[in-house]
Amino acid sequence: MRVLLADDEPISRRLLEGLLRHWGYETVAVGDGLEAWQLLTGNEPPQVAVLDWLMPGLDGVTLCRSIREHDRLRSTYVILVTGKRSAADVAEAYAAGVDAVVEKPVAHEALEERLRHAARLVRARPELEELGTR
Amino acid sequence: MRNVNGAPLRMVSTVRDVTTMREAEALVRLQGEALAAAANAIVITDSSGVIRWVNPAFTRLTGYSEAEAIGARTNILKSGEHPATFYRGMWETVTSGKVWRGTLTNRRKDGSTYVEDMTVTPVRDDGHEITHFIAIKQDVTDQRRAEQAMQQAKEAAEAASRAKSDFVANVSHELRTPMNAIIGMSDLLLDTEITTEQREYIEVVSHSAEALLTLIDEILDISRIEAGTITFTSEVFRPREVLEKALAPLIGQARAKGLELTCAMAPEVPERVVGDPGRLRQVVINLVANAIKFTDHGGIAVSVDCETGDDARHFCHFSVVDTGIGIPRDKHDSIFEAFSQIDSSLTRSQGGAGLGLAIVRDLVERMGGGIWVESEPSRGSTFHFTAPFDPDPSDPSEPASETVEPARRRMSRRGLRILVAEDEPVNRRLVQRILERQGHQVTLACNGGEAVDLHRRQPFDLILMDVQMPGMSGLEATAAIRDQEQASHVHTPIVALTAHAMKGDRERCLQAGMNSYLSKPLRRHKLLELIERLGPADDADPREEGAGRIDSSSAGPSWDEVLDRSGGDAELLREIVGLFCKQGPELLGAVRQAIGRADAVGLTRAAHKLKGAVGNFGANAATASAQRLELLGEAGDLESAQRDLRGLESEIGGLQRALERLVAENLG
Repeated sequence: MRVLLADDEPISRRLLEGLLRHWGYETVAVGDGLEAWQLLTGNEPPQVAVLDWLMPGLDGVTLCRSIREHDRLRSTYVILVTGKRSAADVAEAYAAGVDAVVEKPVAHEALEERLRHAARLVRARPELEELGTR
Repeated sequence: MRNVNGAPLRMVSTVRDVTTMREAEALVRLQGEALAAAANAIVITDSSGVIRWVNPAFTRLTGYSEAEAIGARTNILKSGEHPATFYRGMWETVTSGKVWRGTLTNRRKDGSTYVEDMTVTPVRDDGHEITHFIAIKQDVTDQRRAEQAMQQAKEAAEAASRAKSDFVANVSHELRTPMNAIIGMSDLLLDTEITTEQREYIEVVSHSAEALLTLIDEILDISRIEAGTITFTSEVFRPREVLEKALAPLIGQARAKGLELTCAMAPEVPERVVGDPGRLRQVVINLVANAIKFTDHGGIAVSVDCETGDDARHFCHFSVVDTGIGIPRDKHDSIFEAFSQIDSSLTRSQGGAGLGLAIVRDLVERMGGGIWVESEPSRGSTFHFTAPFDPDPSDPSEPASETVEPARRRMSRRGLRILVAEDEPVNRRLVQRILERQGHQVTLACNGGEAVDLHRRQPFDLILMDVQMPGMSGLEATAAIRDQEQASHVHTPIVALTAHAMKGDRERCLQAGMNSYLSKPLRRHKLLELIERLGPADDADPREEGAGRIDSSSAGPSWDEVLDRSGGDAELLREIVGLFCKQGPELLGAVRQAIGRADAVGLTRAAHKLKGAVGNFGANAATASAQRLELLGEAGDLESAQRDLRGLESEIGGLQRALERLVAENLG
């Protein structure tokens, strides 16, 4: 499974990248939202996106809205990592179409669990799509 | 004849010739009119200083009408800007019958001041008694103001120029630090197992970095020359040794191009002289490197001869002959100017900003010598320079002594216990890697205080000490270590590491008790050479008990805790700690700047980012501090933010040190 990681803060980015690889995911890490969008809209888009909220260029929530509006990317699994933790913020994130919100500093177990969930969905997608076309 | 007030002064003569008398009267009237029409203010006083007559220009200058002035004393014009002795001196001069000339500031009737040049001439009667003084004044206020403005403008321009040079010097200095990492890391990479292709790439990186460094040094030199802050030392040195050292690294370069580099020294050249060996070396290196650069076939020959003058000074004449492309005659002067090469396309193909010869000329001229070139296109060039040196005061005929002999060569020693005190994490890691690869045992300190503590607790064979560290500087730490050693009669060699390319640093380091000096960017081979030289001479096994680890007593994250944050991946942890050491201060700087700009939104963003960064280490105190500032930013409470900034700074600093210590202890 290919995972896109977008975080402008280099320490968090490197750490998460290390963890994702450690957990066995093919990971590509970028430092801003625009770069993330370019990758998503390129060849072989990653099936999972782990996005930071506050980033230069395009923030994670806006990026997620764009993903949901895009035909080909619609079913990307989006995990938002953020230091924002107020109910209103979390609600805004889910309203934008985020699949999961993980708080920063990232609790590894929480992220790992979300990714396992994402992986199950990604594996199941061909079946689901087949069901959908019947 | 009448006096200036119109009162009869004396009869000129009995009337003998009416025509002559009329002519005389007409002349007096004309003279009166001339005085009245004069542009200069004229005042006539009696012998006690009371004004008897003024001309209209006086009224224009001072604002006092004729009626107001006459009968008054001249001190109505006193501005109070001159001391009493000034007026006394003037009065003494004129009462003794001499003319007084000078410039003084006076006060107008309206209170404003003006500056005048004044001449006071005493007038005597027949009996040679002084009866009057005539003062002629010229208003020079505008002129003075213009001069003052010019002076101020000049001072401002000089200050701006100094500021610019300081700026350039600082920038160059800052550039050297990252260059250190680039050159050092490339060196390390070349030492690893890599493919031929990768090796080629890294060699390009390495060469480019070296070229960039040369350029930075040149710019630094030019800025110093412009600022007039370039300094020269005066020390006893051996010209032969200086030349050999200067040429040693160039021989390889020449050979690589298939060129022969030779050096001949006339027997008249004295064994030892007094001057600046560093500058001489710089000039020779520059000229020879230049010759190599512009020569494709043949070779380069350096020669030195010398004449000793009547005053016992040695006039040395150096020449550098090459068989290169040569220089057209009309360029012989301009090549010594900054930013000039014979052909700008050469600048691109050969590298360099063309500053070298300008620097060389300046150095030579400041040493009291001269520089010139003989050359024709495609027939090679000969650069000549002369430099006078003072004789060695001790004994010029004394043959080579052992003390000056460098490098007491011995087998490369391994397993030394080396303390590295350096605050810059990349450099620290670099030095650590270089040393560990040689089998040395490295202990790290992030500042001077830690170095002193470590030295107290355990013995080291060598200490590498960064000069510029926050808190206790390398110089202070060295002094403290030398103090500690007094009781035990131990003397640990201490080598200064410094990015200051400044003259006088070396002296300061040696004065502080350091044994030697390495300038950054650190070159691997230089460091290893130095260690070979300075390492202990005895054969005792340096690996003793007690050279173990530092106990981490200070509060902060535990090893298990931070290791867990990186999923148990120690290398990853080391890497993100490295990143934090670089990013932390930057993020903190952004917070500080936002507060400085009173930019609440910027503060919120910067503090948020910092919070995210420190959160990666599960660091509660620092995370909490950053979050507090984020919230203060949201609330727009910049005053509290300013107050809390110090706390954050110390939390971040503490976290950084704690993390570095953990990594150093657990990962070496």
